[in-house]
Amino acid sequence: MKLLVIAVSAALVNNVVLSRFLGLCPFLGVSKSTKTAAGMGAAVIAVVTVSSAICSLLYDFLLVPLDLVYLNTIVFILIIAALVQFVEMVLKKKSHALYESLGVYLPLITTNCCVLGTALTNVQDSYGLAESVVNGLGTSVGFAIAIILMAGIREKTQNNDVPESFKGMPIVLLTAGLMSIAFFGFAGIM
Amino acid sequence: MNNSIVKDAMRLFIITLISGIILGFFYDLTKGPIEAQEEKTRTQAYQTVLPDADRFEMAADTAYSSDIEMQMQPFLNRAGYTSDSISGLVIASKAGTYSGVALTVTAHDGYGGDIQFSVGILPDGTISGISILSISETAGLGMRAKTDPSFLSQWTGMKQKSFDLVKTGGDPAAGTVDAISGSTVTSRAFQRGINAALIAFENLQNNDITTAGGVTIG
Amino acid sequence: MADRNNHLASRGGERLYNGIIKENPTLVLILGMCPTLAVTTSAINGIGMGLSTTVVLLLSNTLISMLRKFIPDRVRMPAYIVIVASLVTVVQFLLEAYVPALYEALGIYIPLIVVNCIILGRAEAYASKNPVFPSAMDGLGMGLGFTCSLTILGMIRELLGGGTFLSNGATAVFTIPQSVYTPANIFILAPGAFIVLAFIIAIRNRVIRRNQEKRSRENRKESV
Repeated sequence: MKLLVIAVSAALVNNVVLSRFLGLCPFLGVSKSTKTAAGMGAAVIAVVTVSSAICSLLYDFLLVPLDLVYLNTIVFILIIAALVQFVEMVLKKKSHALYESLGVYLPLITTNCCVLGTALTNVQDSYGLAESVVNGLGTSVGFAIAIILMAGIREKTQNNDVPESFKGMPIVLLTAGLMSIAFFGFAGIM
Repeated sequence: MNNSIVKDAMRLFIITLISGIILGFFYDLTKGPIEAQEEKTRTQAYQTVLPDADRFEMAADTAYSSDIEMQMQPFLNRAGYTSDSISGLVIASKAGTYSGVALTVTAHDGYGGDIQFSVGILPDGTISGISILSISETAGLGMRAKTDPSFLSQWTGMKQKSFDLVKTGGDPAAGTVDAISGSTVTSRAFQRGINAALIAFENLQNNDITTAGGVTIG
Repeated sequence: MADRNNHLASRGGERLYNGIIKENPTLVLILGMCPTLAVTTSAINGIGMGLSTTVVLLLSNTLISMLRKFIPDRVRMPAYIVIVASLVTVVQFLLEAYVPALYEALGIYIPLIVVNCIILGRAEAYASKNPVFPSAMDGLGMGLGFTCSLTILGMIRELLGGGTFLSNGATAVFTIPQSVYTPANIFILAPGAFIVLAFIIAIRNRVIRRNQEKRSRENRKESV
């Protein structure tokens, strides 16, 4: 039950992009078409879920016993960077088709703050392994939902007549603002 | 080829090592001031919630057991407050006489994670004040618990077994308090946390807590 | 020698101008969006976040430029990440020890400075290829540009959403009386961040387009 609450809260109520503002760069940058958005979403789900598990284990069984908790930021980001490299290598060898479609987004994920952000939140809220994985999964699914919705809206509205000054980023930000208002509705389920 | 990989790895290792040493140095340098800051925040909170007291003693320094959290959790769980814990107890005295306790409550059911606050309770069970130690609720919504004093001051001076949350028209003297509009989750976290503190207080009174740092309680 | 110094100085100045105005990281390059939108619920938070990032950016650009011949090309990304993460952790310690109120207000967004795309972006695009002084100035310029945008965004959101000017949570320099203007809470909340930033960028676009149109009109006049 508690895990379900964590998952729903991470995915919808406290949506990582629209209410916690993590992972905005890919959200604004890689949301021109639903296909690329889905690819980015899938890559983020994989990396965030696995890195949540590894970081949580490392924190509980290495950093805490050694009294090196203060090194958590640096350790987590190195894990994430290594993990991204590793996923890229595995994909390249095992599944070339998947690599072709996800490959370009993988290096971008290292600097996607929703990955590091999730690892840090897990530690801050003293989540155990199961809770961390569920929180990671929920958060990244929330990211995928937001970026795919955004891409869908952008595809539908790309030919709309937008005031000259609002073309480009401003109209995307306004769209994000309206989506964010809509996501407030989910607060009611808590 | 192999050689150059080793060389690259060595250089990366050197950079990491030096960074680690520098970090360790700064950690030691700032450790003292950080602890002093935390201590200051806590002391200020105790003085806010128990303005009359002139001496505060941590439970750890008193005859009472230091592991208050473990001891109180069963009582809280039994009353249904499973998402709150009592993470600290301070005994206050005035001119050598017991004058109340400050209980540190950690509410795990906040909207943006844990909320920690200190509740001051006088010997007769009257709440003398509430002060927030750490909070990361949504700015403009749940954060108003901190920025708008009218929410927490509802409890000040009230003596009740427990308090209920209502939307508007609450009467603290009759055991009902107003929620912050638009922030039910945060309001509930506080309301339940304060009730948990009252349960803990009742158990302190009923149990074998008799002396603390030479001050007689009872 | 004097010539070289002059050259360096002018290059430093050019870097500052570039960072604050020409290639302002938030408004033009659209980088570092996460902290920009997340912490700007008040002007003070915006300034605090901006200055913390500036310190990290200045030091990381300086260090990476100093070490640019030592860091092997193949492992440069992990090396940059180690350097930036260490600097951020040091800044985090210092804030926690000496400015606890700000530390509390910025919360998780302090360690997240590590993944602020501006920092790794400048390391890769500028500091890894240029001498120390211009790199430092580049970092300073970009950092100050970031700080300016955050401060402006924070000020507008605070004024519209909270009715205060430069408030630190308890006292404000200036508060609009409730009878004159009832603060619209939405500007402090998440949607307000997106909407206010959209308008700031749109206004900047408009000013730039007007200037361009004016210039091209003048050019046409001269040619006639």
